[in-house]
Amino acid sequence: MPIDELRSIVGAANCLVSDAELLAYECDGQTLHASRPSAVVLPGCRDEVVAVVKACRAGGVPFVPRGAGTGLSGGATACDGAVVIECSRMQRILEVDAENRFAVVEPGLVNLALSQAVASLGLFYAPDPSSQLVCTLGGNIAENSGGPHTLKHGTTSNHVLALELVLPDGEVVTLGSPTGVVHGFDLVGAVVGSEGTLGVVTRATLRLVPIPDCVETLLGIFPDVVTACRAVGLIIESGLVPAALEVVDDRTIAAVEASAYAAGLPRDAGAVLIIELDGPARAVAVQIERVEALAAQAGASRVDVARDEAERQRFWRARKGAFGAMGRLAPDLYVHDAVVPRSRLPEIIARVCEIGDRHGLTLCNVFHAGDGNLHPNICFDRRNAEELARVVAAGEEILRACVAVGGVITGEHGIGSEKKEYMDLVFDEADLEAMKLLRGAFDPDGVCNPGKLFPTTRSCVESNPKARGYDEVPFA
Amino acid sequence: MTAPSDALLQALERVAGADALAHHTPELVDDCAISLTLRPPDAAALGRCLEVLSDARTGVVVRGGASRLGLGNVPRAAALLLDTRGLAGVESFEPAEGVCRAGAGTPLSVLREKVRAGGWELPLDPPGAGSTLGGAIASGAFGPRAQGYGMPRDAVLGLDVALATGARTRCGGRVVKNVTGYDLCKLYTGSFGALGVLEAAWLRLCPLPQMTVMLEARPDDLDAALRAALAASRRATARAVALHAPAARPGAPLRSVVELAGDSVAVEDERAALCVALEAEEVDPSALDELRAQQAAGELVVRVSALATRLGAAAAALRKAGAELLIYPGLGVLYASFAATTANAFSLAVDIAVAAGGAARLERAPAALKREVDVFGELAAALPLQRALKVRFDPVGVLNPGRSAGRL
Repeated sequence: MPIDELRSIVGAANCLVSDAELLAYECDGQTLHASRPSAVVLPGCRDEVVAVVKACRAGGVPFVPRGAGTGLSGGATACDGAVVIECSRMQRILEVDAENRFAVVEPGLVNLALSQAVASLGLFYAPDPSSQLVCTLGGNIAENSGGPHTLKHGTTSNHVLALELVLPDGEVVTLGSPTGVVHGFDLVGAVVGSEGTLGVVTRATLRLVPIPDCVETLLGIFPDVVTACRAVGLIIESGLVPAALEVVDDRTIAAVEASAYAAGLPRDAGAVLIIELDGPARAVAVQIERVEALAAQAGASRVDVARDEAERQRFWRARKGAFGAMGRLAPDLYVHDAVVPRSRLPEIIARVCEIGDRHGLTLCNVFHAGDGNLHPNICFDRRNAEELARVVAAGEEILRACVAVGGVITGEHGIGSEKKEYMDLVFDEADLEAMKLLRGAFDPDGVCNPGKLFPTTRSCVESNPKARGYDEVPFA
Repeated sequence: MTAPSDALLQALERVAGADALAHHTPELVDDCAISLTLRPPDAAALGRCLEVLSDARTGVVVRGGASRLGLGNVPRAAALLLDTRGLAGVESFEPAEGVCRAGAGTPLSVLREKVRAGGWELPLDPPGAGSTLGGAIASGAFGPRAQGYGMPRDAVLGLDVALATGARTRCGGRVVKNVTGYDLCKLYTGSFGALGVLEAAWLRLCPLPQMTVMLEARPDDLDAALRAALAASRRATARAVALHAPAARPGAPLRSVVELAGDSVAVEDERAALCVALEAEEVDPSALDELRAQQAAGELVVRVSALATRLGAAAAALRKAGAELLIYPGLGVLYASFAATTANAFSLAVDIAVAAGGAARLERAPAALKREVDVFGELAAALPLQRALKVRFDPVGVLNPGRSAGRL
């Protein structure tokens, strides 16, 4: 491994090789799939990325792009002794064009920092993953990240206009155009969501959107989570397009209210539904009435409209503090991610709860209901191998149940290491071969983020934990 | 064009049925006369046909409604037309979901009516009549309503695709949010059939607006009109904005059309504001289609994309060169029509587009001119990747050979 060469490219301070330093890079937000990189480099500019990629190629070492490491599918872990290329030092905003509504940024810029930087221009960057305070835009691009507001405003893919990409052979290409009009194959569309397997993004041109005239946030109180999901169905069917429709179940409410994130939610509620409406003020006022009626029709006991910004923030605190609050329940948290057709939510959420209960697990639901995007969160202790086995078994059952009603196994977290062995629940061999054609065009030698996305063999998985991405029998 | 061998025709009949092949009077795709059409009756037959064609290394031009058959580089070695209209039918539409699935050969008009009756709008707005779903997606075609609908890439949730080898594949799905595997839907959408033949698609629909209003103004000055139209396009309910400028001559009137769609109160408010700001009045809903018909006028038509702030400069320069313009300010796109074919009109348009931060595409021109240029403009640095994709997805060049960007 050409450590000396990497050091000379990025400087000794930006090349991490000691055990202590590498420990932090063993995994991302998906802690079950740890694997230590051979080195971590933190390039400061595009040319350094190019030099690092070329050095890795010359040394026969694979590499993995990484942002803040908040990913939840093990996409940024280093398989096969790969070198991690962490882009966090590349965090400049290179251009803001308010008139044409785009910004050019480096990949290490934190998601929220972009919206903050352009707020005074009346603009914002719409995709808002829960980790937006720390996650980077490069990581968002790799994973095609979503967030609560994708229901109306779209995912990352809808907001990337152009990319500068360092290909796995070290060549630099610019794809797309700030005009958003595509010529030739839509390579930007192919790269967004490719989980860092097609190259290293070194610059992105992102769409900015105007801050809506009016934003209203409602909190619907429901007797149970199934009823809350019925309200979601009625709202979608009515043709309303809220900015966000988020369900928080009773178990999550209990966790939140017992934590520092306490938001004053009614502890006896079976579920709450956060409904955000945005747009022209008079239209939003009418939409509030429609939503209130639909929620009541579904069985809401009450719908509160936030009276001011403080109350709005309080409603959202319940949603955004949920993961933190669950941290109090157990040492580890498995944040699942699956999607079902929205009309199937009531039945599937009941099934998810049943699966968790049957496996004797603490399972909380807090999710993007408007998109049909479930996040069953399982609290557990990884040191308990027996419990971990139940967590894995329940997770697989949940995915199978979602696929059985026409759903998919991830809506915004990606496949990464975590779900690659489940790809065959959704796609057959021919489908995966077509995806490999894309991979091959960008990375014929498979050196860029290897070991992700594509399944190894199913039979191997059942007998060999390594095939699931574990370095050893997990936590035995 | 070389006629396909009898052995190939027999093989195709075997896998698709005798009715699938039709000999006819030559049909021109650019200057290539093709007198044989293969119309597989279903997706399985399509896959088998492609396998046979691939084995025989025989190129085809894929067609749906043929409304955009003239778009693209001149075909290289295409022996027959592959007609996808046998793959027609709305297979699923659930009003509770706001999604639908239909065969690629389904006429858009049929699909549009079907979903409209269920309270939803088909968010595809290609120019011309007679488009099929597959054709609209494969060509990435959009019209002025893309401003409200989004681009075709935003509407496609899942695709069934037959690859050049005959392998039948799926990507995406039926749900509205999905990162399961690579987003191949984006790659196929707008690829002009160069990477695979679409069998069927899942689409995300838009809710039908409560209210739709068409406004029209007759401004005098192009630059001022464009700025006003751009401002109008940024209103929350502006679903489409189009500005037509005839070839410059004294007294030639401009026409500006704005379609508002959305919640009634918001549309009413913005109608009132725009009637003042644009000196516009409410007109019949057909006004937008009338204006759009101008897009296809002219011997030579170029699509120019530009940054919104430079669209005015691009429009002025093209008008000075004698073009008639149809401008979609909110999309940063204009169509420039030249009455006569001049060899340098396209290169001029390319220069103007590049100066405006965009690119130019030759929409329509005589084949002789198209043979001299790449109608998609220059892809520069991205070309090797485009070529690598084409080679992998279609190694022997069965699908629309020579037609896509880079003459791949």
